[in-house]
Amino acid sequence: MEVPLDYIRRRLVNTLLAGLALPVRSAVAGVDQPPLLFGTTPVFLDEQAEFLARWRAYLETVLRRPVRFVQRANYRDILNLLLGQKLDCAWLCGYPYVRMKAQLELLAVPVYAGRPLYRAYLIVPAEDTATRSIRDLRGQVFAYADPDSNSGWLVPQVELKRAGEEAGRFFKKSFYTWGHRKVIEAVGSGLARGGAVDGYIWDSLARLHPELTGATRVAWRSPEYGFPPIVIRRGAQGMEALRHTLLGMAHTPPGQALLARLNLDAFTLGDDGLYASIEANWRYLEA
Amino acid sequence: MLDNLSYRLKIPLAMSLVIVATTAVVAATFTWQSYRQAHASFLRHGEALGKTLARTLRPALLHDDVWQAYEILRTPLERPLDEARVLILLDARGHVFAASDPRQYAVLTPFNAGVGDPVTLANGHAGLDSNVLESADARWLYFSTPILAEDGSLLGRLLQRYDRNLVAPRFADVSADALYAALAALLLLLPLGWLAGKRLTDPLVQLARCLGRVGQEIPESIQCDFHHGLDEIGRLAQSFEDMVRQLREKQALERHLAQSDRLAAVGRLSAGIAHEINNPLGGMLNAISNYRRRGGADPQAEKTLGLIERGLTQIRDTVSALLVESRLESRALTPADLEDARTLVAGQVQSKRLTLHWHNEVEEPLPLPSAQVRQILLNLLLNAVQASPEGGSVTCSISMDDAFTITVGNAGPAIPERRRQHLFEPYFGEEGGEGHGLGLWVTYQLVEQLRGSISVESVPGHTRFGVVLPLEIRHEA
Repeated sequence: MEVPLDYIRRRLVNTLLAGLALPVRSAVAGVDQPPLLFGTTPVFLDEQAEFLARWRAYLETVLRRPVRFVQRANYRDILNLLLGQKLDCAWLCGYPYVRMKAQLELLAVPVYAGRPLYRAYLIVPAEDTATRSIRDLRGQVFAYADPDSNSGWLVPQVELKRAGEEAGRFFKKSFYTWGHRKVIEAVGSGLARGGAVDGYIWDSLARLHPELTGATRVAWRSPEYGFPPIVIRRGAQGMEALRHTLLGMAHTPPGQALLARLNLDAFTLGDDGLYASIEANWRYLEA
Repeated sequence: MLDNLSYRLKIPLAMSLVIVATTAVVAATFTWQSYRQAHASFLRHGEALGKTLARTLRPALLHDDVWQAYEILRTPLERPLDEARVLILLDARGHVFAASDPRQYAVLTPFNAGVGDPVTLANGHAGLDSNVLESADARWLYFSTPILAEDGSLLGRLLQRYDRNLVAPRFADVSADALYAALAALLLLLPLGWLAGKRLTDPLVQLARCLGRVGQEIPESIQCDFHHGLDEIGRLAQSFEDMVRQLREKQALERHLAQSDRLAAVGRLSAGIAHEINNPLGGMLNAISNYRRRGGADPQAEKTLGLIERGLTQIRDTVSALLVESRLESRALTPADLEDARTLVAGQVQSKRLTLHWHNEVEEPLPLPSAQVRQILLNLLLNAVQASPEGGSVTCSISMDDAFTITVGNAGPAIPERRRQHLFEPYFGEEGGEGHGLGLWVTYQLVEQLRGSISVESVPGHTRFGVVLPLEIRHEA
């Protein structure tokens, strides 16, 4: 990797001696530059404002330019903003990436539990000890995370199709919660009898808020899929610095602390092959 | 029973009762009012919340967004799961669309079934109005708010189910508050009420106590310190004091009259006896005198006659002393007559080592018979000297104003009450004690003849006789 790690480390040691206590709007050099617009989706716990402020301060310090995180109600809005050049980059799901691969390009892929992979979980209320697969949930109320989510929509759809079921009629009712965490809440409260959720989110929440995940049970784990990547528009210029910064996070103590908060090991370059299985699922479902 | 209770207790008790009753009524009213207000505000709050939620829930119903509806339903709840407060969103068919407690009200179940609640409004056909209903077992209160589409058709219905106990604890709180406030008020008011009652009844009680003493005691010794106001008790006390004063005056008058009558009777009796004795006495003395003039009496007889004559003379002196006649037309009183009396007692004063304080204002002759006045003054002085303890002092003050006044005092012991009542009677003897002779009787008779008055006041260490003689007596006589 040609990442100028020494450069980053030096800058960080010089300017970040205060550790994680970074001022949100520090006297960052190059503040007059246009801000970097970073779209986020609930593929990670993007509702932690304090964490986002720290991450943003970190990025601003290293990039020497302002950074703004942009959040929207669902994946589709973020995707459209990115494609419409309203965002510089976005942390998206692998499913929209493979659909829009012609227009998108991987910037970095998170490394989770040593690999850039994750699973989709089928969760049910904790008191439901019988359900083993989605086929056991016929005629029930089901919660999806987002229609553009791999783990929160595509995976259960594909599972049902493989089982020969028609997803639109299989459940008595289904709804979107527009977030993985909310799927866990919907299932935990009993509003839905089953839900499709990002396994990484479920595991991270199990550490942060065991009372939330404790009300649910993982009934089924999917095969591994490529982890939701950070993407840019294909051919976008000037994004190398951000890539270097993201990849370098694992090599500086503040970056490591931020990664620890994300429950991730690092960001890596990644490649399209990671998302081949998602693409295959998509094709299968479209067929 | 209550009639026998003292007003001292009755009025403070009555006041306390009134205070307790008033406080209780105020507290009860306050509690009831607060409860009503709390209940009304509860209903208002439920209705307002229903309307607000109904507005925000409409898009969720329209877009079939169960999750959005669920999030909205949970927003007003303090805890995610609250048995006492459950919000339920029904669709137009009366099936559960979403509920804040999905485990109890699962999505898409008919509201009535499984819940067993007889509330029929859940059908969704209960009209388009908001209303408040009670479950059959009175445990739950339901606020039902319709959710209407823009054209006014029914999209669904929001039910708020509240435990009635949500209102009940507030009633208990309010009651406890009222109770504490009432207790505090009682703590402050009861002593005040009791004090006020006591203040009111104190004069009455005192009056009653004083009244009770009349009849048992001589009115002179009744000393009551009444408050003097114009209220009923003040006027009553005033009347009572008037009555006691009149009683006192009447008693003094009666006593005075009785004494005068008695002395007059004694005077008439003694005068009568004196005349009866004097007539034969004069004959006997004349007979002895004639017998002597004729002579021829042997020495033995002469001795016997002398004995008889001296005895008869003594009888005559005694009787004449008893008679106290203004026999002689004596000359007018001069200052020298008064000074003579002083000289006459000087020897006795000296022998008892007394001090005589003499104060004489008379400097010119007065139209009073000198012999009688001399005897009065001398009697009083001799009495004073006799009554005075060894080494004491005797005062004598003679003054001339509208009337002639003699005041003689001594520092001897007080005259006993019983003896005082018979002070001016001749030869009053007291059992076991010393009596007195004719001195004061004679003095009294003389003063009476001169139409004067004599008075006595006697307390331990100070006895004072006063004689007042009018000067006009000469002209009237």
